[in-house]
Amino acid sequence: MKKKGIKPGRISKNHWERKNYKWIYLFLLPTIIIFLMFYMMPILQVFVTSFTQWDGFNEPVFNGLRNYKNLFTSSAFLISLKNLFLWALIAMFLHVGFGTLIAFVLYQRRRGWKVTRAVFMIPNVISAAAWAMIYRFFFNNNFGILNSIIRKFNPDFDVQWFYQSPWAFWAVTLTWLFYAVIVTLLVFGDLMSIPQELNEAAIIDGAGGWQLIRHIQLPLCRSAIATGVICSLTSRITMYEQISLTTAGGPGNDTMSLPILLVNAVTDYRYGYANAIGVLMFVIGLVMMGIINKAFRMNDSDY
Amino acid sequence: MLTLKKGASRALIYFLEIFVIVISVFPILWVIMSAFKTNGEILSDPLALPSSVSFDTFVHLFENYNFPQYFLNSLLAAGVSTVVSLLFYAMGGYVLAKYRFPGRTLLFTLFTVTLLVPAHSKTQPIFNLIMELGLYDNLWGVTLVYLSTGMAMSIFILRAGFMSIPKSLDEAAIVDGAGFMRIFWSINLPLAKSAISTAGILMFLSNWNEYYFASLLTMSDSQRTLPIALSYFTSEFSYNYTQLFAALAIVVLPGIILYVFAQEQVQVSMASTGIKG
Amino acid sequence: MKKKQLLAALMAGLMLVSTGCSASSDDGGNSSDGGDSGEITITIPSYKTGENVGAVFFEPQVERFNEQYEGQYQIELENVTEDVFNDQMKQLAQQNALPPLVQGGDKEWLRTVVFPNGMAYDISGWLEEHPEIRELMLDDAVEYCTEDDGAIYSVPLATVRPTGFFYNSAMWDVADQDLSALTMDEFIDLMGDQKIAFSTAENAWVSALFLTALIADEEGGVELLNSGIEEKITDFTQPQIVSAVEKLQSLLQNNASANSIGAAYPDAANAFMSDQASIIANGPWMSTDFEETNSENWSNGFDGADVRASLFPNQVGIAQTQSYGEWWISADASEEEVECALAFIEFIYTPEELEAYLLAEGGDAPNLEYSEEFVAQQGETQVLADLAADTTEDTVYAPCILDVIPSSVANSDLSRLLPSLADGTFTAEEFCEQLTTAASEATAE
Repeated sequence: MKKKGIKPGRISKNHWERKNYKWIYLFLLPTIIIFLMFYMMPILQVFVTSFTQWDGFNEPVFNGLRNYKNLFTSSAFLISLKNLFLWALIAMFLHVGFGTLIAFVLYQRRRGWKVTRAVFMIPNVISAAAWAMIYRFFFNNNFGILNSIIRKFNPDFDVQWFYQSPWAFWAVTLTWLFYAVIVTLLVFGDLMSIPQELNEAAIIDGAGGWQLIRHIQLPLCRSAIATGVICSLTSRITMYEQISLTTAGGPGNDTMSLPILLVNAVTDYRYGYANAIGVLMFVIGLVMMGIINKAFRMNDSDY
Repeated sequence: MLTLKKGASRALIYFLEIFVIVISVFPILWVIMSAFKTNGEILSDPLALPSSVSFDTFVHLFENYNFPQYFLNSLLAAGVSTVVSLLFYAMGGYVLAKYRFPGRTLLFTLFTVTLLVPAHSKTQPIFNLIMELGLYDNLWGVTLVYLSTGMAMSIFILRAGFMSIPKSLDEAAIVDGAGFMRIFWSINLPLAKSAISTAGILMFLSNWNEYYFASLLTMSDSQRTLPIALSYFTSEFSYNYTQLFAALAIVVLPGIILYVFAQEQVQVSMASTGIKG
Repeated sequence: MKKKQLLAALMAGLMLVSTGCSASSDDGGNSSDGGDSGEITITIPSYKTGENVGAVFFEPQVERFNEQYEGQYQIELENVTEDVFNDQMKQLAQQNALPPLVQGGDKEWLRTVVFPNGMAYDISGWLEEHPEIRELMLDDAVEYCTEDDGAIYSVPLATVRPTGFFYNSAMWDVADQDLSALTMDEFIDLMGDQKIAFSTAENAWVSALFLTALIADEEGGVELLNSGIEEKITDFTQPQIVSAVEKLQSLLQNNASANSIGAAYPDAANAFMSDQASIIANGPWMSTDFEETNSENWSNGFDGADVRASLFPNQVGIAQTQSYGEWWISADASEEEVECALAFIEFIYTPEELEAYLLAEGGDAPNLEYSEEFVAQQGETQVLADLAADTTEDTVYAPCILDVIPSSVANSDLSRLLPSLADGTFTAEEFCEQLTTAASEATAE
C-alpha cells in the first residue's frame, strides 16, 4: 500500500540542501547552544570522572577501570541489567502495544473518546511521592484494593506484592505498564493525519476493518510507534522513584535498577562509581536506540 | 455474524475507554478526597470517604502561602520556557528529519543522550551558569534552565513528526521557488501540529511540576513556583498527609485544567489535516 | 491568530512580572546592613520554617531574638526546602556566596571540605571569652568539634536528646515499673504479645532504633556502635549484630503491628496513635503529637494522655554526643555579620532559651542547672518528665545504627532487605550477610 513516490528531485534536492547549509546550521544553533550550556559539562564530567575515585568535593584520583571492574563483579549490578532487559521487552511489546491499542480505540471516535484522551494525561502530573502512596494502598496485603478483590474469590489469598519474590517485579511493572499516554498521543497524532480518502478508498477496495488497520493505518504510524518505543525504553533506563519509594530494589535484588545503584553510590559520595553507572546507562541507551532505529527503518521517510 | 462481531468490537472499545478513564482519574480523585480526611483516616482506611468535608486545610494553606504568586510564577516559568524551546526544538527537529548534512548523526545522538544525563551531575554546572549570569534567586534563571529539560524527548517527537510529512510537498514548493524559511514556516510547521502539541504538552507539564531546580536556584518567596509549596510537606518527620494532599491538589489541578483547555484548542486547529499519503 | 494573541498576552504578563521581580530581587541577597538605624541585619536560609516540624520552636525563637535586640541586630529567615538545603549550601559555598550564619549542612561535606579549607569562622577565641557558654556545652561535643589545630568551627551542642520509646499505658499497664532498669530479655518477657509499631520503608527509622537498642544490649555492643563513628561498620556478621538481628526478627514476627511491612514512618506513627500498637520507638520530639492540640490525628480511642515514655532497657538512650552542632559561621562574613551571628548564638545558649528548647522538643542539657520553673513545667508533659527521670549519670549513650553504617545501606538496603527478614525468607545470618555484601560494595575502592 505504500506509495514509493518517484523522486524526480533527488539530485537537485541534494544540491538544494548544500545551498542551504547555512540555514540548516542556523536552525540547529539554538539547540546546540542549549546543549553546550546545560549538557556539555555534565556529560564530559560523567565520562571523565568514571575513571576516577572521586568524592564530589576533592580532586578526583585516576583509578583506571576500577569502577567498571567493581560494577561487573557486583551481583546487584548484574541483576539490574537483567531486570532492565526484561522491563525493556515488556515496555516494547506490552506498554507500547497498549498505548497503540488505545490510540486506535480513540481513532474510532466512539462516545467518550475525547474525555478518555484528556484524562489519560492526568497520571503524568501527579508527583512521585503521591504515586508511591497510591501504589502502596493498591498492593497492600491487608486492605489493598487488589487483594480485597482477589479475596472475594479466594478468601485465603495472602501476598505482600511489593515484598515477596517473585511478585515484587510484577508489582513494580504494573506501576507503569498501563500509563502509556505518550505512545497514545504520538500514534493518535499520526492516525489523525491519514487522509479520509485513503481510508475510504481502501474500504471501497474491499478492505475490512482489520485489514484496514493492518495494511494501511498501522504501517503509517510506524515512526510514531518507534518514537514511542524509544521514549518508553529510555524511561525504563532512568526509572527511579517508582522503585525507590516502594521496594527499594528488594526483596533481595528482585527489583534492583541502575538508577537505584547510582543514587546509592551518590549517597556514599562515590561519584566516580556513580558516573561509571551513568556511562553504562548512556551506552545501553544508545545501543537500544540504534537497534530501534534499524528495526523500524526510522531514517527512511514514509513517502 | 457480522453484527455480532461489530457488537463485540464496540464493547471492547467501550471497555478499554472505561479502563483508561478509571486508571487515570482514580489517583487524582483519591488525592482530592484525601485532602479532606484526617491523617488517621488516610492511613487506616485509604479508600473510605471523608467523614466530614471541611475546607480548613485549604484556608490554612492559602492564608500562609502566596499561592496566586506561586501560580503566576509557575505559569511564567513553564509557559515561556515551553513556547521558546518548542520553537528551538522544532527548528532542530525539522532539519534533523528532512536534511542530510555533515554531523547529522552525531548531533542527533548528542541531543538524545541528554535524557540519560544523571541529575546529580547537572546540579553544579547549572548552578555555576546561573550564578555567572546573575540569575540566582530570579525566576528567569529557572525559566532558562527549563529550556533545556525537554530537549531529548522533544527532538525525538518533533523529528518523527516532521519525518511523516511527505517530502513531495517540499519538492513542489522548491519548484515553485519557495525559500528555506517559507518551506519550514508555511508548509512543515502547520502540518506538524500534532507532534508540536504533544511535545509542548509534555514539556509544559514536566516544567510545571519541576521542583528541584526551582528550589535550588531561588530563595525568596517572590520567586518561587507552585511545586516548591509541595516540598514543604515532605520533610523527614512531618506526617501531615492531609495538608500534603491539599497542597498537591492546589498544585496539580491548575496544571490539569490548563492542559485540558490547551488540548481543546489544539484539537480545533487540527481538525482538518489530512496530509498522509 | 489565536496563538499570536496568546503569545502577546504571555509576553505582556511577562514584562509585568519581570518588573516586579527585579524590584523585589534586591532584598533577596544574603545580607545587608540596615541603613539608617545602624541595625545589623543578616538573612539566613533555614528549613525550620513554614510547615516544617522544626519551625514550631525555631521561628518564635528568632522573633524573640529580634525583639530583644531591636535596633541592634535583626535576623531574617528565608524559607528553604529541607530536601535541597544541603545541595544549596554546597553550591553557594563554591560560589563564595554562603550566608553569614549557616544552619547545618551535610556533615561529611563539613568535615572534609568546609572546615579543613578555612571556609568557616573559628569561634574558639570567642568561646574562651564566654566561659559560661563553654561550660554548658557537652564535653564530647566540644572535643569532637575541636580541630587538630585547636580551631572550633561548628558550634558544639549543649543539649542531648536521648531517644527511647513511647508506650500506651492504657494498653500496656506497666507505668509503675522502671522499664529502663530491666535487661532486654526481661523487657521482652514483660512485653508478652504487646504490639510494636515497626517500619521497613525509607530508612526503617523506628525499626532501626529498636535494632540499635538490641545491639547495645549485647556484650560489647555499645563499643561496637561507638566504633562506627570514626569508621563506618561494614561487617554485619559480628556476633553482637547477628544476635540482635535474631531478636529483631522474632519481634517483627511476633510483636509487629499489622501494617509494619512496607510501612514508612507515618504508617508506624499512625499505628501507635490508633491503638494498633502499644509501643513505638522514637525521639522526644514526638511528644507534641500526644498533646491535646494534635488530637485530630488520634483515632480508635487513642488518648495522648495515656502515653508514657522510657529509655531502652539497660538504661540505653540513643544519642550521638560526638558530633557537630547545628550552627557555623561563614569565613566570608563581615565583621558586623559575625557580631550579629555570635549574638544570636549567645542568645540561643542562654539558660532561658535552652530550657525553652528542651520544653518544646525534649532532651536534656546535662551541664545546665535547671530553674525550678523549668522542672515544674517539664513535669506537666508526662513523657518529657518520664525521659528526664530516666536520664541520669548512669545513662548509656549509643549512636543510632543508621549513623554508623554506610549511608546507602542505611537509606536503601535496610528497607530492601527487612521485609524478607520479617517474613522469614532470610535467617538472621543470611540477612547480615546480605547487609555485609551491600556494605562492602558500597565501600569498595
